[in-house]
Amino acid sequence: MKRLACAMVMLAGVTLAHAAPQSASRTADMRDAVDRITNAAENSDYQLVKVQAIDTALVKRGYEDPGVRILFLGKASAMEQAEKEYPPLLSMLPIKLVLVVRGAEIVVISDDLDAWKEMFPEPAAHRLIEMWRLDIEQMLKDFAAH
Amino acid sequence: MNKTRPHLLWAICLWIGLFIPLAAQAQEPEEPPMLNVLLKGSSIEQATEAVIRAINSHNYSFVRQQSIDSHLVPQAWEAKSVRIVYFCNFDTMSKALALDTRASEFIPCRITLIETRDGVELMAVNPAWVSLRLGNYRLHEYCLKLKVDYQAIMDEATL
Repeated sequence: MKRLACAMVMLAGVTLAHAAPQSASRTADMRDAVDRITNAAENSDYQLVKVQAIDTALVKRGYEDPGVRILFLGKASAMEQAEKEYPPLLSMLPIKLVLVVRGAEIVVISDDLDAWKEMFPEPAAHRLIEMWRLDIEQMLKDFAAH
Repeated sequence: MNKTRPHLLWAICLWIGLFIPLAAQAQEPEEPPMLNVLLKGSSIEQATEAVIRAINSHNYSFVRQQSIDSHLVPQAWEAKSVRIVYFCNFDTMSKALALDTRASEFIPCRITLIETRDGVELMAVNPAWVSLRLGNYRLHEYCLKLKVDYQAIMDEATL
């Protein structure tokens, strides 16, 4: 019986693991979080391209505050590489990070790069996506540090 | 035996809770990950204007357009052959985010325009493909409608 229960739980766990965007969190307000992720991006040679303040845009129009802000981050060399090696990937750039308010914390969530690998199954695409995944991992580590 | 029963019951409940939605997902028709349309014989400027007109005529707000490397290189050096057009519908965006903050994965809406030898290719991530992966069926309903709007915008831009 126990074995059966364990097997079912493990099977469920495997199924849940299929979609896993990268994320990091820290105690901060939104402005502080934007500053910290911008610095973290610069440490990885990325630049902040645009802050899409979904939260203030919706509140200004009378909607509830979703506590969500989106940052677009880019690197010229990443764009050039995608254009040269696998142009369809340009449709996924610049890289997007979503900042979500959770109580006193801000959670930063990346796009699901595993999903990108499913979208673009070719090895050339996977190589680039994996490089970007490592860049994002470093940015999120920097964001959460200290 | 009595000791194991609560564990077993718990596991069965968890299993049913997880797999019934997955079984329902399996019944959903498959979605292509990308939506693509080719505008034959258009320049990227003409295609960008056509996309913005189509966005406005489908009850969406045009947010901005930019070169793929905007803010990354001096303006004069920006790539002319790849542009991104962002747009949104504030009402839909608010409802989708209230349902699931993971809706931010396809917010704001965006279409990438890539100039090729044959014309301009319009590319967008299919929001219904994303929502199928997320497994939130209420969100998926929004995304199916959003996909239809994307297709209508892209098709109108080709006219």
